[in-house]
Amino acid sequence: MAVPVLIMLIIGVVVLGNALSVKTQTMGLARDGARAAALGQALPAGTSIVGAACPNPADPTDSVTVEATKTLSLRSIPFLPAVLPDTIEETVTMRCGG
Amino acid sequence: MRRLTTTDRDDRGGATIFIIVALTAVIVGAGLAIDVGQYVTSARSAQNTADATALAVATDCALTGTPNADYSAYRKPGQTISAPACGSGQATITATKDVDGLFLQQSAGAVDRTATARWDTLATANVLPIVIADCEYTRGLSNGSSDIILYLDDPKPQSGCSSLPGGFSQLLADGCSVQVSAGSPAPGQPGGALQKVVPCITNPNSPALPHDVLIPIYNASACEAAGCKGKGPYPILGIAALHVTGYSFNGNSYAGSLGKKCPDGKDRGRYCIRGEFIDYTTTQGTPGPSTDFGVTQVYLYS
Repeated sequence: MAVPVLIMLIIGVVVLGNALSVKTQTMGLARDGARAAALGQALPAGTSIVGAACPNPADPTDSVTVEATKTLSLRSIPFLPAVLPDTIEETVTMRCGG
Repeated sequence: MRRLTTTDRDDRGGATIFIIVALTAVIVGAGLAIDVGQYVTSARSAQNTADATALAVATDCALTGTPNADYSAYRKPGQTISAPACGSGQATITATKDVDGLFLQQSAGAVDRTATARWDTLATANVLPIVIADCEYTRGLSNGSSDIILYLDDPKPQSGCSSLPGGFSQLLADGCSVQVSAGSPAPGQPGGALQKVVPCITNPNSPALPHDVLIPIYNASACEAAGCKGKGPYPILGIAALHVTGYSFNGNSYAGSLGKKCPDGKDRGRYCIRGEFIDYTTTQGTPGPSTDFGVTQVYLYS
């Protein structure tokens, strides 16, 4: 009885660690995307602008929000229903041009 | 006869002890993983907030001299930031978020991250291959109207600038961009086909006029004293941003109210640019010492 619980816990730690790693990567990607959008550059893959883009030329009183999305590859914890989402989304807002 | 001591010890219960110890270790490990993970993600989020807010504060400081009242758009729920202030050419922001440990420790404390953004005059940049006299810049700021008209040809009836060849001239360049540095002379292009600059001003890859372009400002009196009339090299003082609303280059014009010809007549002032000098922030080029013509570079320092 104890061995399955132990195995489930160990796999759960691995799955959760992977999810946290992906979350951190997504935050970095959102930050890079927001910076690119603020400077009028091409967005990195996996990011998209939420709402209006920065005008051209950039208006430094305006802001742009970028959302980054990454898929979780390890998701299911054995014997438990999937508690983690399929994807992780993060948004970052930055000042246009600045 | 029975021995008083025996080696036949009872091992029952050993596995239970092992399982209890292992289970405890795994649970503690899982709690540690969750707590550290939460700390790491909170720290990363706080750094994003600090970076974005510091850049926004620096931009406002560069443009207006004071920070805005509200920077809440750049932070996440639960985060707080330090009071934004315009320091001496830099703004430092600390973003803080309380992190409560789920398993190992309640009220684990707060995670904070700091970012510093700086602003400075632009010393080196890629600019439009046009150069404007500093006296035209001064006149443009003091004339009280939103638009001014700069003339290439001399005399310039609406200009108080005595420098030749006029309010603006052309720099030597292969295309629509040339790199200039404050404190260094920039070679001119006397008699160059100014028509070639038209596409640079209209900028076909961007929306039609009006738009903003970076143009270097030269020292008119030093230029005149050195005899650089009409041919350069132009002693560059710094870089200004011109909000271009129209132009007329020998009939090739962006109409607006400017029409096909410059306002002062057909015999002179055949080449003119209409616009206004504006305060402007940019991320291109290199910051450094130069005369302040309203263009500043904002950049993340740390």
